[in-house]
Amino acid sequence: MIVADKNLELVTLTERQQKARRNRSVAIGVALAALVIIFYVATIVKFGHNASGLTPTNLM
Amino acid sequence: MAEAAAHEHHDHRPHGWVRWVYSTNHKDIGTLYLIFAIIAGIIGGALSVAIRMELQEPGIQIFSGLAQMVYGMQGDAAIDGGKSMYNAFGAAHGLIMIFFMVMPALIGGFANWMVPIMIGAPDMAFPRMNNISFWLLPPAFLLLLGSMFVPSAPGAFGVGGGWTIYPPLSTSGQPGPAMDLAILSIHIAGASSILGAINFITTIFNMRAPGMTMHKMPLFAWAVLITAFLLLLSLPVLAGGITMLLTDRNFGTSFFVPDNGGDPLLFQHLFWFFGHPEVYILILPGFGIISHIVSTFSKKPVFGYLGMAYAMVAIGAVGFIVWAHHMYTTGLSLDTQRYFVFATMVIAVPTGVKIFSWIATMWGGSISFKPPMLWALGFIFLFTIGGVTGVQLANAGLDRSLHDTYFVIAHFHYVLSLGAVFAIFAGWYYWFPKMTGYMYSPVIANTHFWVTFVGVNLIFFPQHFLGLAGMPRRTVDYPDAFAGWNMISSYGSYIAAVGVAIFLYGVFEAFQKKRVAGANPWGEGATTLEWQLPSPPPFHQWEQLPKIK
Repeated sequence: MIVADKNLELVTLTERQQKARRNRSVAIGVALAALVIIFYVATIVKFGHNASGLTPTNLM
Repeated sequence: MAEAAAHEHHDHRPHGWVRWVYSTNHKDIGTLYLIFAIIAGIIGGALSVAIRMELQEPGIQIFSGLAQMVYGMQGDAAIDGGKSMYNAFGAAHGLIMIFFMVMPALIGGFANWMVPIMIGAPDMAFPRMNNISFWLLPPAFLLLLGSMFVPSAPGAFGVGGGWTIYPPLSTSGQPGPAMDLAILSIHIAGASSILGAINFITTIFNMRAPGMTMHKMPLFAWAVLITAFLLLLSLPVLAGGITMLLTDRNFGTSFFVPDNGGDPLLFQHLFWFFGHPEVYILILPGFGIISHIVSTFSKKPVFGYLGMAYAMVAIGAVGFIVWAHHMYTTGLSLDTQRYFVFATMVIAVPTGVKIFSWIATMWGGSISFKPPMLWALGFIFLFTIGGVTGVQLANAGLDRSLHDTYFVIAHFHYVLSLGAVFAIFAGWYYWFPKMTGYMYSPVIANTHFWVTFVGVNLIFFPQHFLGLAGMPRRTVDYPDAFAGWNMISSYGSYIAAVGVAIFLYGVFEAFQKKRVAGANPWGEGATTLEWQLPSPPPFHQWEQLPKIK
């Protein structure tokens, strides 16, 4: 685990680095949001058959 | 502390209500979450004290009177209404404590406050999304509270089906709007958590300071990262399940209606596919906090850092494949039961790694028993008891007789009420000086610990005996044979309530006395980045990023 240094060296990101970081954040965020939507839709679609005739013992 | 000077002139902040309502600052939002969790915890705790007051003696003592008072019922209707009200209190207690107390405190509160600081980031990756994550919670909470005052089953008010809201009790069993309000509440709280999870994962993956590799990251950040993944993978499934519940109730679908080919057990599978990881969502951030505290107050680096991190990964991963151990009595095939017994037992291995690593961290250390350490030790002891009864309940054969008894109540309260809540208080006393700049009274903090420790053990330890003797959960009344341990359990809840009062007084006293805490009140053992900043930290920290060697 990181042990903080009493004499921390500080760095400043350039404009370009900050923009790249922002773009990466958006890309990760969008990908994660897409995952959430896929899981949500898959849950309903996958088990939607139950609305019309899956036998109750299917999951046993 | 060079950081403080560098930031002094940047420390602009909005004032008044704008600062809080429109806040995009992770520390302010963390504070909002913590205040929200305290309010929700008091309400959820009051519900549980009412439950214990009712169970102090056999017979129906207070809930018929409460039904008269709140719902205006009279005579027999008040007795039946009181029984339903008891059920509604139980369901609301569970939902409030999980969704509106523990999660907001650990993830919304401490993680929001500390993760960006610990990883050397100026803020969360999506500050505006952080704001909406918080502000979704109060309306969700109000919806749940509101559900307690509208009809559910005929002659009853509030959701009376337990926090698990199984159909058909949650569909045809309670046709009134109370269940719809509760479902909507869970939907909104779930959306809040999903947005929070996306934010934490992105922040931890993308906003770490230069040089801070994953394997140098503090264990609390690891814990929050894994928790966020559990949220991200499990909550959409719950959302799907309760959406189906909602359409079954209101739009004529039959996902869980056997008459039309649906399957009520399907809901249990969907619910517990979320519900079991949820247990780890509630406890993993606590694991992270405890690791920091044990290390700080033993003045040693945590033993087996990588093992600790990957034990949490293992717990999170295996937590997704054990859900049906909550369903041993539903008619699962024997082979399926065998699998779930085995998989559940496996979780004890990484959990044991953590317990033994905490002990090994303390071993040979220079331990100081300051309040956070006291709470952390209490956590380790009590969580281990809950873990051991969990291993017992993992056995399908034993669970056959213990399922839905007070043994289960005792087990999960040792893990959560005594585990997660002790971790919350440990974190509170560890980071309170950092968050506020003030040092609390250690005497009050220690008194809070001991009163709570005695109280919660008196509540829950006797419930093991009640469960073993066969007392079922979710009942407003019980045979006289169970009276003795129930009385002790109820007395324990009053003592724990006194503990809450001491806690609140301690907070008041700290703000009143304004004892300056300093940047690092815990000394050389506190090594993570938050202790490099002044207390409280500047409104905008790490505008220049710390370089980690």
